[in-house]
Amino acid sequence: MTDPAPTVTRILVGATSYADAASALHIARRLVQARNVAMGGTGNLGGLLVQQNEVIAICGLPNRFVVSASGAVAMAPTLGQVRRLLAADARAFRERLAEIAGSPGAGWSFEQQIGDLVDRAVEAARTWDVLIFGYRRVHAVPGQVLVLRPDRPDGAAAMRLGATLAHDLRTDLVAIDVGGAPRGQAEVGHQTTLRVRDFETALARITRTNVQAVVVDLAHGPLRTHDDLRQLIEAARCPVVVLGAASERPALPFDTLFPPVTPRGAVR
Amino acid sequence: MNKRQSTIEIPAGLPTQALRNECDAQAMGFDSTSELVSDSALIGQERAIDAITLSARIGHKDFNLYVLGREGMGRHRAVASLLKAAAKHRPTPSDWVYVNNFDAGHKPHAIPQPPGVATRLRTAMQELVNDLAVDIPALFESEDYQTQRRAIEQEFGERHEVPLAEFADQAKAQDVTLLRTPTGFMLAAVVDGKPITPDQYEAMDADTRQQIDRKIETLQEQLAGILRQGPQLEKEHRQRLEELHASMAERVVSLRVGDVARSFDGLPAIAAYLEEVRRDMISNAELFLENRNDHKTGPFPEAIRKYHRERRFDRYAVNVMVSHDGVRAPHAPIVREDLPSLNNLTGRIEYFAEMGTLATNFTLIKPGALHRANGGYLVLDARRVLTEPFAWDTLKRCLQAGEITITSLAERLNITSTISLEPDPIPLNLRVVLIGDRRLHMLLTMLDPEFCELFKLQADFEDALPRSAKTTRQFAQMIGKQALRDDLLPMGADAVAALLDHAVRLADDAKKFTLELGSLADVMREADHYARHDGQKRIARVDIERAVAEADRRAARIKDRMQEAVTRKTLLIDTAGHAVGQVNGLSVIGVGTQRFGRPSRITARARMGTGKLVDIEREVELGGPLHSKGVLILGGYLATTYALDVPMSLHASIVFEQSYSGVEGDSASSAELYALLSALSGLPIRQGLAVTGSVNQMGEVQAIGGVNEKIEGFFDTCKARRLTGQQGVLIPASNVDHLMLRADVVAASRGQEFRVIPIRTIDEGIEILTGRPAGRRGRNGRFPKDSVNALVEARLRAFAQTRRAFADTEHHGDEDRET
Repeated sequence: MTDPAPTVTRILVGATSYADAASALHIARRLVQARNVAMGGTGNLGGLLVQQNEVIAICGLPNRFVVSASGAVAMAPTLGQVRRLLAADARAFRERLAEIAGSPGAGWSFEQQIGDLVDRAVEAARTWDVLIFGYRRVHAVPGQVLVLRPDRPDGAAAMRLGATLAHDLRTDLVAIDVGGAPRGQAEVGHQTTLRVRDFETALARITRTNVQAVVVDLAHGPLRTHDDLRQLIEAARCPVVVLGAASERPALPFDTLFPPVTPRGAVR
Repeated sequence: MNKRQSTIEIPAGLPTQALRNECDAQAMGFDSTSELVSDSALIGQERAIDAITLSARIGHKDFNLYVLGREGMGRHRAVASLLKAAAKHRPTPSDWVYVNNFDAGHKPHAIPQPPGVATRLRTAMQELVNDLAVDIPALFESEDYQTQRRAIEQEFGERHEVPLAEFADQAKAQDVTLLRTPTGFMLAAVVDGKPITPDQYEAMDADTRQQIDRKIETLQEQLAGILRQGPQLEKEHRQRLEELHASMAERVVSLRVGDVARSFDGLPAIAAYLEEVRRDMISNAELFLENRNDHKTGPFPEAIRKYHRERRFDRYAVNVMVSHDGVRAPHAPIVREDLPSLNNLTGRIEYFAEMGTLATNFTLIKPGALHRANGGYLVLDARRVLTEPFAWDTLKRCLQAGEITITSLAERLNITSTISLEPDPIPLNLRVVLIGDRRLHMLLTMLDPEFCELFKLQADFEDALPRSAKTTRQFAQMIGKQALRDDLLPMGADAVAALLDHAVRLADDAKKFTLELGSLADVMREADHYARHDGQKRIARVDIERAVAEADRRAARIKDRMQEAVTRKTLLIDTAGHAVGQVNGLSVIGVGTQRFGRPSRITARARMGTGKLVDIEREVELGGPLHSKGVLILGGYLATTYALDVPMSLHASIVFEQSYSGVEGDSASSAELYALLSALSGLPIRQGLAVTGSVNQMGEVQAIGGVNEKIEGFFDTCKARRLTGQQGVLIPASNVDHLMLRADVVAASRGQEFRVIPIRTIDEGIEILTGRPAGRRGRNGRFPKDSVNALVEARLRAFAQTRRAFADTEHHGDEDRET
């Protein structure tokens, strides 16, 4: 992922509902368009809808309520309702993917899984260039694009991607250096750099900031574990764009990867 | 009756100079019209000219004008010329524009402006839009704007995010996690670092469960409260952004609008409008940012793009309804509208198709003739206005209201239901000049009570002008000017004299000539053609005479066929010999613009009866009311002239022989009376004579129309048969002044081959026709023996006596039967 940019950029969007996926798909569309133009190639788009076990379990508790993004309180859906809602979300997810991939040469795929979103998505994203976690918008005020700057000198891809997104979304780019001064990385465009002591401090900062998207590179730090990723997603409350998911050790056999890949690495 | 009793010879008739009062070319006093100079194209129309001038110059309301007269009298030219002169003394009226009403778009504002300003304002507004379409996007792309916008976004972003972050911290501190479901957020207690499961929950004691539930419930309410603030925060965010936009746009818009306002200094209406524009541009600055990259200007740079042509900027357009160049040509406008339809008079509102419906805006308001003529004069053809649907009604409404209100025909007929406009009415102050004929004027006066209120003046054009040395000279000048205007060859004095003779003939009066310049100009143009064809340098008498003759010939097909029918005795007309109860009457037939006369045989038959005079034409409904009136007058004449002491016991019938179409007019009433007197007296009538003239109950012969054509019609018939010297026409003496006969008729008269005999009374006429004295009632109350009247009276008495005898016989017969 940190190698010279490929001519085909493959983007996987992972979410637990269509409401979450919609904001990530918005980012994906921007990336597809920007990369196609910038790189003269085409992109593949994938969708992964994960049915979280915790949500199923909680829905089984008595007297549970949900709070909508507008603040309305309603009874939590039953298990059956959750399944029907997920089916509807899956249909909407597919339609949106098809719409975004409608540009010439773009392909798309979609998968549904059960489990933990981060685990499943990172696993699935091993053969993808970019993974985007969805998170529903709770307000319409456009925020910044934030990059957790890799702590390795060769991790410039996240900054480049962040800069592209910030330009495309016509917003500011903020780079966060975790644990000290950056190591030999050039500034990209108009950016603000924040230096924080550690990851926890970074999360505390992020959770109070209006952010449209957060870009991280799993291969080049400072984030490396799934748990870090989970905390980041919950703190940011916005789509999180993840590079370097392929650097994760495969936890599944080769032929169960989503989507299945051939030895040559092409989509089957 | 036998010829022995015809003692009175046919009179010689009128001298030739009375038959044709020709103009003397030698007395004209010029050789060619090229020598003549004239300022006026009109003569003899002083009354009409005064009326037009008054209407053109009077300042009071409703002194609109109706110009009446026949076609070809030069009414249009006179009106144009007089209005042009008057217009120079009136100020140039205001320009008028329609601009957007920013509060109610369907009610555009009309703004008056000094002459020449409207187009300048339109151009200034176009340039303003073009400038701002470049300035405003540049402004919003500036770092200054972006920084301020981001600051606002950051502020409001934090106002959204901080409560959520604090809530997340609080939830975490209370071991509660936030889960996302397809329908919203759910809160769940955390047990062993993971959301609680149903089994774990069930395994807890009631207090713990209640504690957890209460905690969840409290946090749930907090979360709902935080999220509910979102819309309000977003609204505040939008307001702040709008304020930022407005403050940013205000700087550049005020600067540009100020520049425009300075160029229209001293014009408060424009200043007020520009202030509205300024406010609207500031609050709608996004208009200038829309789709900026969607339009390409081809090879031209973006900077010179004509943004004002884009429909989104229509709201800032200036729709010039009427504009006057007050500097180069200062005067009131004169507008002539040849198609005075409703739309062409009051203007119209056009539409464009948008998303399958018809839409419009104030830029699609089109001016009408009333707008263009406002402050000046509007010349209309009366008949056309009256035949255009709703045009007359609308014209009156505008004049009454003193303002122009645009209403479409479709709207008036309720046949469209699309969105339309209600533009401000524009104050109206103009003079309307209607040009029409007299009949229309009369009908309008009678049938439209508003007409006389709105058209207080009439300019009535004379049809003819009395002949005098002075008017003849004026006529020549007028002809000369017409020749010059039509680029014709100059006319020689002989040609002018010939044309004047033709004008006299057209006037139907030897003492007058027609002022129908249109007809005369047609003859001149045709004569010019012949003269040029013959290689002449000027138009001569021969050319005029040829033009007149050719025009007659072209229209003479029916006349020739009728003449042929008479010659071949298909139509029975006697031109020689004598006959009882039969006389040659004369009638005029009009075909298009040409008229010709023809003789008709009129016969009468009489017998004893009950005093009934049968007009066969009327009985079969071929006789018009005037003809019937003439016949009834005969009855009155007979009843009061003859056998006054006995009941009228006559049954007589009168008919136009071989007449298969309608008969109208009373010009044959004297001829009918002659036929009846002949039938009653038994005296034959000379068939070489024809008669025309109406008669009254006193036996006086009265003037009729078309006397020349009638005489010529009988002359042609006689000539076709052979002129005997015993032929002629009896005309009313009061028609002598109307004689302007053809040259060949005059020549025949000069040679004693044909005569025109004026008569004043029936007695004069019957003497000439029968050759027997009419006879005057003597002191003894009787007519001289063997006079026509004596014979008539005797016959009528005989009828009465026979009738009385018959009645007595009937009476006795009845008594016998009763006995």
